[in-house]
Amino acid sequence: MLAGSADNLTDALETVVAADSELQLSFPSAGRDISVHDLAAASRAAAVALVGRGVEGGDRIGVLSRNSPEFLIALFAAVGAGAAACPLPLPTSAGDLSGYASRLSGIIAAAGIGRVLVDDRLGAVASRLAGVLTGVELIPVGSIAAGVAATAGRSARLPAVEPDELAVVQFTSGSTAAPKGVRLTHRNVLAGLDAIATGIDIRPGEDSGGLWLPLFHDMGLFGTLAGTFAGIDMAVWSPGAFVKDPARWLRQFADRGATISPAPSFGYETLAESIPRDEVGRYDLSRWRVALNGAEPIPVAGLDGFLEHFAPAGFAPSAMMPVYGMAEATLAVTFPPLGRAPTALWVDRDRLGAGGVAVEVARDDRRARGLPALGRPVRAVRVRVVDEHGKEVADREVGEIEIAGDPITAGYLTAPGAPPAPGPDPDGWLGTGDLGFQRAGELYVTGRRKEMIIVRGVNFYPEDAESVIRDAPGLHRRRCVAFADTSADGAERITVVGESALEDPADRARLAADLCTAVSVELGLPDVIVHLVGPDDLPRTSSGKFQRLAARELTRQAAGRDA
Amino acid sequence: MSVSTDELISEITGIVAEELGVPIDSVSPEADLRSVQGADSVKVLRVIARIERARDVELEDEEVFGASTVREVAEVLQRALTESAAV
Repeated sequence: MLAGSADNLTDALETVVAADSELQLSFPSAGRDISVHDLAAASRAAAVALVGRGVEGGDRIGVLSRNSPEFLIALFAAVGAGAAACPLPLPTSAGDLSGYASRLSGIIAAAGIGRVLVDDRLGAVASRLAGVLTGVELIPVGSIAAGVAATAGRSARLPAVEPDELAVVQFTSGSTAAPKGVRLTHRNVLAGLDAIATGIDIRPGEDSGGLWLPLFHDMGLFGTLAGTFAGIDMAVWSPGAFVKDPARWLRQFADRGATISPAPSFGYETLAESIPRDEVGRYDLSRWRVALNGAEPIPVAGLDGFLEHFAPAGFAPSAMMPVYGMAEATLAVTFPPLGRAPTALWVDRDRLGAGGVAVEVARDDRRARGLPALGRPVRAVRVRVVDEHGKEVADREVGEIEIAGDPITAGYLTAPGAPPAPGPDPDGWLGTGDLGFQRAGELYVTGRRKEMIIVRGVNFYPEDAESVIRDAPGLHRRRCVAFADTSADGAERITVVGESALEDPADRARLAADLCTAVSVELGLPDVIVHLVGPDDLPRTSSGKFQRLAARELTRQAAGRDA
Repeated sequence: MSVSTDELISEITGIVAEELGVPIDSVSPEADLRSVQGADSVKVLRVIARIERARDVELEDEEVFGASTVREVAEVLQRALTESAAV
């Protein structure tokens, strides 16, 4: 990586500017571009303005921006001023302002954010938020950068930033009620970006990257920075542009001759669904060298379907790379070897639970579950699989995946009073909450120990579903339990079980449908299942707490009887 | 040329019904789009994309985020059409 020897993100950006000041970051949906030279200059000016406003080392500054130059100017301004940048989510679905506002205020409390740098062009969203976010100063980033004369920006002194200071706090995980911010230092981020660049062998002059993920998402942010810091042009579309017209996005991506793109599995499946078979031949995807596929569970059928669908466009099977990563690792954990088409292992699904073992079966076996091979640890990352006592298990044995190394977070920021979120153990091993096994040095992910599902790269928590419906009329004494579940075809979803004293089957059906709609709408989640049981049917612990796992077992048995 | 909100509502209702595969009369102008059977945030965006193509306008993401019913989408669309006509 070009910026490999830098101590902090600001120096790394300067190294990139020194190597090629005209390197571009393009934002096609916003119709704008910025060179790394101009990005560094604007960020420096904004950092000077922030210091002038009293920002100090250790402060946390929110970044609220669409995919536009302002996002990156705000990020580099915050770290240049010695603060940590906290990317804030934008609303993702229509009309969810109230749920969105409560999520945002949870993040602001957890991170202790006093100032938010806002995209000057955010308009309607920013003005609606002003009423919601009291006690937070909203600062338009473009205008404060423009307010500092170029000469003053160059001569002013900015604080020296050490590698172990916080650079980014990434709020990808945690429920609405208890958001968790992943603390990433400059050292973590630079090591993580280097691991990505090395793992896919990014080559300045030959490669260029393109993506449409939001920059506030870990894959969007670190995917973009990995390319820029490795010295290649990057194009960042808006998520809306991709979702509204996937075919148009693909044409623009191909027309740019882009070679690298990260996306969740849902993105690749969307492309295959959106371009009719008889039109695939009109695309030239032969330059596409690396299609990183991560951020959510990857169905083997989705991988195979994409390869088969886009073969007539010259898409090389070896370009598709199912990977494993997370914000806690500044993104990458394992990558498959370059130049290998995706491979999968077919194992007995009934023997995969915790303490289980991967037993290979024929692909057409009734119990066969396909798991893509996710490769080996990237540079500077170590991976192991442990049992419930923390003891490393043998090859093929299922346990919790743990990670360690320079890119790995030192822990989380949580709101005062929130449940504790443990960081790495004294030896540096961080439990991921994911279950999996290793075989011949490669990682396979089988499921999750923590209660959460991931759909389209977004984490959803059962407790958020419970809080949506707990007060619904018709529920018996606010009793309901939600849990993460998997449908027959392997899709992740949330199932809710509620107690109801209603007797009339029509009333019960109506209540179930209403609860289902409420959860879908509030969480923005397509697949929600609701079961109603009688009063006092939900299993509880001796202390009166509902038992999620026991409730899940109850609905499975019920489903078995119905079938 | 001006278009009434009612005309836009019936046009959008038709697109919603077709895109989501539900009968036209099951989509009321005041219903939350995301509560229509089969809708999710991605499909709602697809609906918006079809409206944009049909009317040759581009709606701002933030405007669309603020609209959750057919009537609200029609109002956003009408504002956009008025603005593009004024240019």
